[in-house]
Amino acid sequence: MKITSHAFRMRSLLPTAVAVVMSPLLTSCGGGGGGEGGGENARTGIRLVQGAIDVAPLDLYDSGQLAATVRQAKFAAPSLYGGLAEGGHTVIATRANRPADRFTSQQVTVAEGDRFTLLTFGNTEGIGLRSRILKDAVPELGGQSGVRIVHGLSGAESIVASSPAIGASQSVSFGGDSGYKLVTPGPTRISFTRAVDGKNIGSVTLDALPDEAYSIFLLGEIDYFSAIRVAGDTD
Amino acid sequence: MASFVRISFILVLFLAAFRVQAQDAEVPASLLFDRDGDSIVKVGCFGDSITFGVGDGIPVGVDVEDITSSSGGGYPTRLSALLGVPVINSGIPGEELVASGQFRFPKLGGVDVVLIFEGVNDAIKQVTTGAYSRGLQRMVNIAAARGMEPVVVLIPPPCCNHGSLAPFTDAYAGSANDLASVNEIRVCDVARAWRTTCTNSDCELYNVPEGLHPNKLGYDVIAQTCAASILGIDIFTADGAAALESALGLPAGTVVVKPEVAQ
Repeated sequence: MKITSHAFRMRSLLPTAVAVVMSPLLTSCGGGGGGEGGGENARTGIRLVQGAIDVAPLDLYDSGQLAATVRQAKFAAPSLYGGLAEGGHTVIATRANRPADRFTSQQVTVAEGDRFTLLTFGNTEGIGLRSRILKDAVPELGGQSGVRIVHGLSGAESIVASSPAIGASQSVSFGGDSGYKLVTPGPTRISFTRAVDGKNIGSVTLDALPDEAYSIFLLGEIDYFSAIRVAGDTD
Repeated sequence: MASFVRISFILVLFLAAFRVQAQDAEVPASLLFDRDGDSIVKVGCFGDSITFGVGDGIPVGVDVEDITSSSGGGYPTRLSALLGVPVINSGIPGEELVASGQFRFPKLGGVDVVLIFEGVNDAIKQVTTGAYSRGLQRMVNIAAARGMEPVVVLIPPPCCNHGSLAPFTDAYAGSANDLASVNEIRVCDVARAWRTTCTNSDCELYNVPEGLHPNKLGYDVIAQTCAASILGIDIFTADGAAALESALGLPAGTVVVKPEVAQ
């Protein structure tokens, strides 16, 4: 990542360096972009949602594999799904770029088309760090949209989600999820409060598409920094 | 003629591809772009008295036991002049990162890049490195979650009357450097700039013998080091200073940060 004076010189020479252009271009084509997964979701696999506010970004490894399945899952930034083969797996979350610095491990058994979310939440001091595997088992939507609420917001034993679209208010306990609710496609506004005292947490407006499912994650720490994030579960 | 045009077109494509590859491979992009969509690129400097600018305006060589007056605006004012963008000074003298800075930080907004420079007051309270690192990670997480690019400033070791704090600030700087590596964010390595640029152990970049707050020259060093970091220039290479001067259109010799000399 460090810049070098060589790099500066190279840039300044570019307009006159026509003769040497061919070789790097071929290298570039051969590389095919390289990098970190190419920005596509795996149809069968796992994603990482890092919701603990004092924890560094995490990498996720499939036991026995050298390359990370998910890289640099930052706080409040749901990753894409990394691919897992069918069968039993031990998935291991580590500090990013520190594969020996293990955060948690979980067992999953994967069938064709299965998707999972590894949620990390809590905090280092106080309630402690926690993790949970969710199976992202989207029901038959039949032209409707699916919405699931996942509660990883420290400082609230349970939260209440309210929206005309989901009918009655829905309570979700800490570390849990609501399961998928079918809603009419279109803009859906959902508000969140802390169950014990009605404290406002925030709201989100989701423009739900037909036959698509979404997870809404509540992350961070109430009274300090709360984050509400929406991630697609079917793309 | 047609074939000449076709060949020229292909060469232009080659050049474009090469340029993209060269930038991706070797030249980190400048962090200065509009992330929050307000059409203004703005930098925030979050910290304590050193960010506030205490001790600025005092030239090298003046004997300073206690700082009673400051002028010049510290490194944020210089950074704004160097980079040509608005820079917000969010420094509060005496603030500790663990006890208060991390709780003030979520209120900071409206900036695209934020430099986090706190810890000397934690050192006075002998805060553990673990607590410092957790607090710093919280701030980095919040910055990223709010769409700001965090840059961690590595604290230089105090000297002289405050030299006893150095083991703590050195530990904080090491932990912050590791945290930046894990988070894949940049550091503004002021600790290294002090090491390369100070000419004696009673570092002349500080007000001496006070030894905690930089003087006029010290604030120049901080601003130049952080400007280079934001632009993606390694100021510690043999021609790093010249590269920064070239990038900013400064006269040769303006940058006072010294390169790292190979042992």
